[in-house]
Amino acid sequence: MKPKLIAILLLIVLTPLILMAWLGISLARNEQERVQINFEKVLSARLSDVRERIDFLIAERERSFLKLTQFTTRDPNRIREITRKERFVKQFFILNADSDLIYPIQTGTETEAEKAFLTRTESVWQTGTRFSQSSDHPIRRQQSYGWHTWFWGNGVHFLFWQRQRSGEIIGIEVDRMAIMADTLAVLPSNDDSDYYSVHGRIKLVSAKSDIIYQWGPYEPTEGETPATELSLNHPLNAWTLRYYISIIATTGQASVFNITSGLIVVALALMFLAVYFYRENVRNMQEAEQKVSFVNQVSHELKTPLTNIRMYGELLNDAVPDDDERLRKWTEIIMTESQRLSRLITNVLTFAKSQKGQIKLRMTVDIVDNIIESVLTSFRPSLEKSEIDIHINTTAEATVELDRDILEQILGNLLNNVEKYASSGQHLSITSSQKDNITIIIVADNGPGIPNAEKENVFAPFTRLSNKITDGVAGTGMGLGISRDLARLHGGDLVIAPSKSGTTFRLTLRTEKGRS
Amino acid sequence: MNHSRTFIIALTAILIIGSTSVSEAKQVVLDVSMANPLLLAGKKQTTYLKVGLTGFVMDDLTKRTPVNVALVIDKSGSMSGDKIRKAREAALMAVDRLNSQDIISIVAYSDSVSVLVPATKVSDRTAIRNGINKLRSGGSTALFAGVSKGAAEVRKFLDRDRVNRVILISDGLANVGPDSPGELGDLGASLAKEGISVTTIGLGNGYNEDLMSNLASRSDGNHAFAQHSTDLARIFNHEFGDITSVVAQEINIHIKCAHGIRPVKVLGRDADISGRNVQLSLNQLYSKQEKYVMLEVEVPAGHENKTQKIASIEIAYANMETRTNDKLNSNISVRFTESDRKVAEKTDKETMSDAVLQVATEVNKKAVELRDKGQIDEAQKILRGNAVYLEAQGQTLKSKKLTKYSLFNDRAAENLEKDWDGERKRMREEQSVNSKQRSW
Repeated sequence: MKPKLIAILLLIVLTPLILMAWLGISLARNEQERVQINFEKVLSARLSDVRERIDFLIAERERSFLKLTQFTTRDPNRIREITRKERFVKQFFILNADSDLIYPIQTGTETEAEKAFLTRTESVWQTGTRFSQSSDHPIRRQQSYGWHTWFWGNGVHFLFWQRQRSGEIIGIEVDRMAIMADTLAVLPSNDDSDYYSVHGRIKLVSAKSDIIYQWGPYEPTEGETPATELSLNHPLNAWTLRYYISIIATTGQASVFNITSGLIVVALALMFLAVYFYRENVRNMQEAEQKVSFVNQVSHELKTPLTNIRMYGELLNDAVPDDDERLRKWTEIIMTESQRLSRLITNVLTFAKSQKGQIKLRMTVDIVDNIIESVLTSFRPSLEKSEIDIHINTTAEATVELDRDILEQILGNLLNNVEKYASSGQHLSITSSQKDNITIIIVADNGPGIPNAEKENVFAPFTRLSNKITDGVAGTGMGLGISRDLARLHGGDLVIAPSKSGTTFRLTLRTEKGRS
Repeated sequence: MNHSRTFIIALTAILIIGSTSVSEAKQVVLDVSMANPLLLAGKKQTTYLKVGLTGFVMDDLTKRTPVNVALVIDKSGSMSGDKIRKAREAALMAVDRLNSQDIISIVAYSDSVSVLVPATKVSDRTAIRNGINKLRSGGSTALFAGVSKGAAEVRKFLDRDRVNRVILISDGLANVGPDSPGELGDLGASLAKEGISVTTIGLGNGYNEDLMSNLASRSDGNHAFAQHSTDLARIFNHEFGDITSVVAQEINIHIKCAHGIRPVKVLGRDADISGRNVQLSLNQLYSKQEKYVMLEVEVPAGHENKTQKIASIEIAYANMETRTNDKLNSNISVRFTESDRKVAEKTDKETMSDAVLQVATEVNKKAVELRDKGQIDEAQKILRGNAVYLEAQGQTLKSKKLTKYSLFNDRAAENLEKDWDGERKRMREEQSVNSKQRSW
């Protein structure tokens, strides 16, 4: 009983918990995905903002470069003078209308810087870059200015060029360190509290994934993949912005924490309830047990005086002269009533024993019909008084092994019921038969019968059908239940057999052939 | 006085912006000289031309040029402890040396950059001190980003009438962002064009002296080696002495060599040499300090007693006292003689010793290169040779400076193995001191 109860209580606790956990986790996962998508949108927007800042800077530079590349002098010394003053100009260059480089060229008077420039840009002139044609702009086939980038040495280098009216092109090799320094000067530093400050970390990386600049308090681990990334626009398109942030770590932990704490609270509440019910149940059981044990003890105590009453009642009955009708009637009443009381007590004791699982069969060798006859004899006076016709058709004459007390108790209960509830039918038939090891006894009456819906309930302990049949009749409601338990213990069963009218009880018992 | 020495003081002063006090206006002193004013006739030879510029004394020190300085401090993990504390103290000291006309910003960097104090006038000292006291160490070294951000702070108040400078303190190797001496040098060069110099102070034995000295040199700033964090205060003192005594800025030097004279190279400084034209810029000149350009020239064979014009020199600069753009001009010639004795007698000892110092510095650089390649013996040999050469020249030219550098080369020769890290930093510092004429 107890392990079963505990199992049920555990089920009550665990089922909603598991359900909630599953729901919670799947909800959290959905939420996480949603958050992640939103996050990526926000992060991309941030990176776009950063890129816009840089685009703005480049546009500003372009404007100043457009002015710078309009000089008319072709005197190298004049050009060098401008170069020395202009921060972004590493080197000027001029192409004639045929796209041939006319400054700087190897003349023997070129400066070291110009020599270095020619070495650096060798690949640019060799590939025959045509600055006026740009596939990027199909609408403006003849671009008047633009950028050209190429890789050399440590990274990407930049050329800015502008076509002159004369068809010449004046260009600048833009100082890559200056443009890099300027770019990161417009980017936020760690302490900036403006809109561009971030919770994660944004890195500006070169084509070789070297960090050029970074800001934000988050420290990504080595090899961590960025949440999102964005390439800069031309001419800085070799550089990429990468946004690192630990979304999973932050929001994931929070929702797992929420779910876990929610589950713990629910689990605690359910466990409290379970423990409460368990304790209530145990207490009820204990109380019931105490009651049963009390009744048991009382019944035992009653048995001794009752035995004495029956014994002296019988002696008295024997001693009554045959002609004294009045005395005989009185002694018979004492006899039947004490027999009924005895059955009642036996039932109570049997019930108490069956509750503890203590009933044991005490097999003896006997003849079923004899027992039926003996029980019927003790009931005959009261049945006759209720004007009930008794029909007997007994064929269980074999000597078999059985517990006589049990059979007597069952029959007593059944006949007692007929007497109590079915006297209006004025009919009782008892049939017995035997086949192989089975003895079948059918007790039928012609009373009001038992409604189909109640046919099982009559066997439940303490049940008395609450209708007019049972009203005004004394009883404990234990009889049928005990009878069925005893029949089953005896390898058989007690059932209500279908019948046209009244009630028909069918009792089967397993009765081995007795060794005569 | 040496009569053959062309000694021209302020030959021409063209005042672009009108000034009422023309007569009182002070000028930078231009001193053009030859190491050998008298050359041996009959053979092609090279000699040295020195263009010296000396800052004048500012009358009213309270009217000194306002300073616009960014302190860029490495706060990477390696700076923890005494170094960061001394850097904080030095920065606080710097604030005390400045007045309310000056502008300061404090930038700290590790793997990313923090602007502790954005460019601000030194009137709210408490706020600046609070900013400095926020300086804590930790992280790696984004040197390029730190300098760029420092320059960006200076740029906020970039003004031709201020001394615009970034002072970088670092003890480590740059490991985030561009990190080669060449790239940082290029950054320095581009900043110099804006009139921003970068002074670099290397702290301890862990920094990249090539990167730091290159950055300083290409931007015409100072470079100093602070072996111990206690040296920081002294170096800061000198540095602020320099930047609070600037008398001229944006100095453009144009040396036009005469027909037949070939400029070979400028020792210790970057210059554009194109044909017979030599052009270079200095960012600033400090009060009473001499900076010079040492040009090696090839002179064709000449006849006895003939005079050969070597070059004409044009100087343009911004005078910080008068707030005017001033110009100076000068010419220089040599004469030829048949007498070896006369050539030696007429040698300009001061100019020659400066030339010797520059040559010896180049040799010293060569020794570092050899040692870097692992050729310790060769490096030691040329350092010893350098020491002997300097010692001899020191005697002849009566130059204590040369004798001192001789001893320095001797010691360097000794330290090629056991204390190479520290020695290399000392050598780089001394090279920078010699080629840029750092006054301290």
